[in-house]
Amino acid sequence: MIFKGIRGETVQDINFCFQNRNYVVVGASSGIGKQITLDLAESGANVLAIARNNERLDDVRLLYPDKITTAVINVLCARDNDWRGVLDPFVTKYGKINGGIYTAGISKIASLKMLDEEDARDVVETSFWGMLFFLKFITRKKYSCVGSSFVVFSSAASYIGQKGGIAYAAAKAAVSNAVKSIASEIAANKQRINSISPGWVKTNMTELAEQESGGIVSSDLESAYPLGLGVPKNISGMALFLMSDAASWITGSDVVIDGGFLVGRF
Amino acid sequence: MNEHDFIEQLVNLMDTEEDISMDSSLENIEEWDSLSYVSFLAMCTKHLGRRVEPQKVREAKTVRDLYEIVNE
Ligand SMILES: NC(=O)c1ccc[n+]([C@@H]2O[C@H](COP(=O)([O-])OP(=O)(O)OC[C@H]3O[C@@H](n4cnc5c(N)ncnc54)[C@H](OP(=O)(O)O)[C@@H]3O)[C@@H](O)[C@H]2O)c1
Repeated sequence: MIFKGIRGETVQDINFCFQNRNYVVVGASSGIGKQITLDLAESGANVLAIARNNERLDDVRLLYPDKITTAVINVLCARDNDWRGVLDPFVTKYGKINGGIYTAGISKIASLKMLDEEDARDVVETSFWGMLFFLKFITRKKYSCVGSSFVVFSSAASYIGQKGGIAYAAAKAAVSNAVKSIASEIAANKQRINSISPGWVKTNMTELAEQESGGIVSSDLESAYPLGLGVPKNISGMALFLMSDAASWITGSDVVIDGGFLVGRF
Repeated sequence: MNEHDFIEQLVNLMDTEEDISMDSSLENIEEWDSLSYVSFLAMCTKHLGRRVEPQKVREAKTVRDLYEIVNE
């Protein structure tokens, strides 16, 4: 069955209705976070889209100017006041938040023996510490409704590791592990949190990794993916599902979406 | 970077105990593998502040070829 979204776009199979709901997406200017932002807006939600690059954020906002608001934050240095500074006005204008998605992440290729401390720390801080500081605020009753849902990003790499990706894979394992502890804490307020572990999805991040590695990480990639490589749309549906009421009994889980990469290896 | 410093960096990057000279053939250095290749690209980006052509690095036959890529 084919449905039409509010802007007349074709929506297949499942149609989410997030009218009058409010979401915050960190990492909204590109790739998976951008797709989630657009899908949320298409479903009728108000979205606060956060990233560092204001120009790219504005390109996203202009696709749904009535639904998307933007704010610039660098998760590497954002602390209490910065988060309050962007959450307060959004919540004052639209009401409490129904959920948050954290997709900010970077990858820097480095072998153990050539590990660069600053790069490795940036990788862990972007994926892991930035996420914790975000959740520390957004899960508070002041900002989030009872029953709100959070989705954060791990990676298939956290399951099997990755040559040259020590800090990245470890940070991602930390993300899906932290989700379990956080899930048990926030359940008291009927809030939920889950992580998604994507395989190779074509975005700016993977394009950069391809360049940085001089093509090594992407050689033989097609054959490692029984269902082919992913696109952001392959991931955003699960993020929206986890935000929805249909997922109200799912918390503390990690969902692998990898086109069969993990099971297809031999 | 002079030749001596370059060799020192390369030895460190590959973590090899072999005797490396400007004329060493990369093919004969066991530690010159895909991870070393990627680390070499990363080192260039970091220290030169520019990306070197991966294709050129792949085509390099000797340590001197790599040195020339760096000093282009
Ligand atoms: N693509 C894949 O194959 C893949 C696979 C497994 C896991 N993942 C994970 O999925 C998530 C999304 O990845 P993607 O492929 O969509 O990457 P992407 O296209 O590079 O997008 C990353 C987003 O994070 C934002 N960001 C990065 N550093 C930030 C910082 N310091 N402060 C604020 N925002 C920051 C970027 O915006 P600005 O640059 O404007 O700040 C951008 O919006 C990441 O956590 C990634 O590790 C991706």
